[in-house]
Amino acid sequence: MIDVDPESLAVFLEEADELIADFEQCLLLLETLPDDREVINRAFRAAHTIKGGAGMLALNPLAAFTHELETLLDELRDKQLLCTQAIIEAMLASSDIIKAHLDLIRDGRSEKTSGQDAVLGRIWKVRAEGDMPPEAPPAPSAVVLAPGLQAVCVASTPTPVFQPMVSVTPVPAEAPAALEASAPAAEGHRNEAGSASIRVSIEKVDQLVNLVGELSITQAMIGELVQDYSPGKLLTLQESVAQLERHCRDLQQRVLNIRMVPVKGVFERFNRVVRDVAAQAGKQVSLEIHGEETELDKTVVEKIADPLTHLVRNAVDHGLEPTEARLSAGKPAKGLLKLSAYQKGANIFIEVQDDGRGLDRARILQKGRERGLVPEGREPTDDQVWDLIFQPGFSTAEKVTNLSGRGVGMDVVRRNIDDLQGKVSITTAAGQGTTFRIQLPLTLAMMDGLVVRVGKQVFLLPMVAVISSFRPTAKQLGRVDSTEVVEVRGVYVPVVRLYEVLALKQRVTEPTNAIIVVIDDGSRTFGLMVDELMGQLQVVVKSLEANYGRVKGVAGATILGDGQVALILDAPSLLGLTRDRGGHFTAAPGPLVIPNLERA
Amino acid sequence: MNQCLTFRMGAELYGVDIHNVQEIKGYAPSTPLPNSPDYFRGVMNLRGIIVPVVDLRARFGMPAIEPTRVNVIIVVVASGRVTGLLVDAVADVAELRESDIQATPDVCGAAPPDFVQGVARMGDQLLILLNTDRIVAAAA
Repeated sequence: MIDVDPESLAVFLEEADELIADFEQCLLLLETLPDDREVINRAFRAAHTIKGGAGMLALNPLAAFTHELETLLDELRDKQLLCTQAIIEAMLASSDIIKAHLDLIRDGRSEKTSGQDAVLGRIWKVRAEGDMPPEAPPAPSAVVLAPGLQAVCVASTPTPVFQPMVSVTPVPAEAPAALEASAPAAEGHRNEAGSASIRVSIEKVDQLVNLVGELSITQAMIGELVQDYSPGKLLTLQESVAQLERHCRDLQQRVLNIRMVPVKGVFERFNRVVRDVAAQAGKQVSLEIHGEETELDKTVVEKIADPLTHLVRNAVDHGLEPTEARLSAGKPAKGLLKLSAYQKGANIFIEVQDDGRGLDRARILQKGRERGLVPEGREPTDDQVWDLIFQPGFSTAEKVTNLSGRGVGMDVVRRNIDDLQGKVSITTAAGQGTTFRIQLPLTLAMMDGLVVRVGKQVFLLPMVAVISSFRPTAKQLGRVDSTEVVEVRGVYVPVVRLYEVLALKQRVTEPTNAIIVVIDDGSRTFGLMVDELMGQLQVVVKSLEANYGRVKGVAGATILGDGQVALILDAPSLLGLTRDRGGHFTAAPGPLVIPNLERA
Repeated sequence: MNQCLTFRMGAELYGVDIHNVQEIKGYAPSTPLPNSPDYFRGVMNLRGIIVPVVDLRARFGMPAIEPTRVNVIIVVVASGRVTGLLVDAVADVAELRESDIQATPDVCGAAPPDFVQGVARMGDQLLILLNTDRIVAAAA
């Protein structure tokens, strides 16, 4: 059990995650620049700060382990040792041990990790093999740090102090507040402890404080005007209200901006991933990273790490050919993997691009037919073929390796991205490579919605899922196997009547008097029948789950201009709701069974 | 329980622990949730937070009334959830000693026995003390 203030622990864990990411970054740099003082210093500082924090929180096993690592780094710094590949390997292994420690601590356990002793042994070995005779390595049991004891090795560089988050405690006057203040937050897939907080630069907070000051001045001005109002003051009042509006808009934007963090934190870890996977697969790969400063909602950044890891591993393991195959195809021996992020409109795009062999259309299609996913005799389009690889359990790998090929992964990738209201698409050319393009909303806190009305109730549909809308003619409507369908640009898609799946009272029941909104989530298309379109709105997404629970078919709620709550529909899932009830529409129009939506 | 907020529904007097009460609001229409139980009036906007509203009359199986502005929503917090309880009218804040509270009799007005924590005598009327946690938990 860990008996410390949970808030301090959360701060420590968050900072330790960043430090360990930075530490690994340094190690990878050292592989190419083994003599770079600045990099060794950075690595030392990272290890030292982790040790200090662990000691302060009485996380003794971690502190003791990191102490050994720090000693090694200290000797590198003092040039008692030369930075060899063996040393870098040992430090990378240590980094994994520290990460394992941090995961244990997240589970509330502070203890030695398995494999720790082996890594310690490696550290001692590389130290003993160094040029200078090192002092006798201290036995691990001898290093027990008392709480608060952090400077066992006196550092000549300034000792970084845990930087308190602005929301927690004020920075003590003597602490270097600006310590690497510009260092981007290295976030990623983390448990609750790490994700509950966000690091914000003082600058952003100061801007907010200023803005709130302005806001209250304007409000006071308006208050005065209203209290002592005469028609002659109308113009001044209007000006003040306009100013109020500007401040509100500004405030909204800046508050949302606080949630945005650069993708750099996630991207950086792929240096290590690519290095390890390439080594395991016996391939040479160089990783190019573009647009790492692109900012994304913190929640999105955290949740995108896992699917990206899958894509990157797949690209190295499957996408890129073995060296001999590349050479015989006239390509450079070293495979190229490009990871890039950029913003376009209200979306962020993340691309994983390799210059490998490209997807094998024939083989994927053959597998698809074998598994009954593609009916015999039907010739699917390219996109439909590529889409097959996102099916659960789908794999074309001939041999299952440790890395990939088990067919788990791509469906999870699709699901994770769906959860983020994103889309994933594939471009590929045989022999030239494959690009996976992930499209994500800029933020999950705001959403572009199409406002629709059914009866008296107003709903929002996420714009990202809406393709088009139209009033159907009788000619466009029909039935296929007792399922109501509507023709959309030459293709028949199922019709989902919103009033039916949500069991609403007043409604237009005749499709030719209603509006069909065409919904597409990337794999399925259908027409959603509503009474009327009301317009388009950008809204703040609110949670329904916080005080109630999950409602099938509903993604969240928002508050409209009049203060009323409107529900945001999880449009793609509405098709599933109609299927849940047996999948059969009665052939004759008549009263239909109203589905019971279950709350999870 | 030291203090409790008492309120009326029909002829009966009910009470909830005042520690669970966040605020009291006049009734305003809420947004219905699809396919939710009858006793759910829907969700309302409480200063930017989405809060479900339970019609306590309907929850207790009492005859429904069409709420107007004179009706009251008691906003309670229990088990970390915020829920609005729609009742007829708020009565008073009553001081209760532990010894005033008696075990629940078998029959206790319209309230399902699960939701009742005990009863207390208030002058010539019986005060039914409700278990807010259970009501909120059963609501979600």
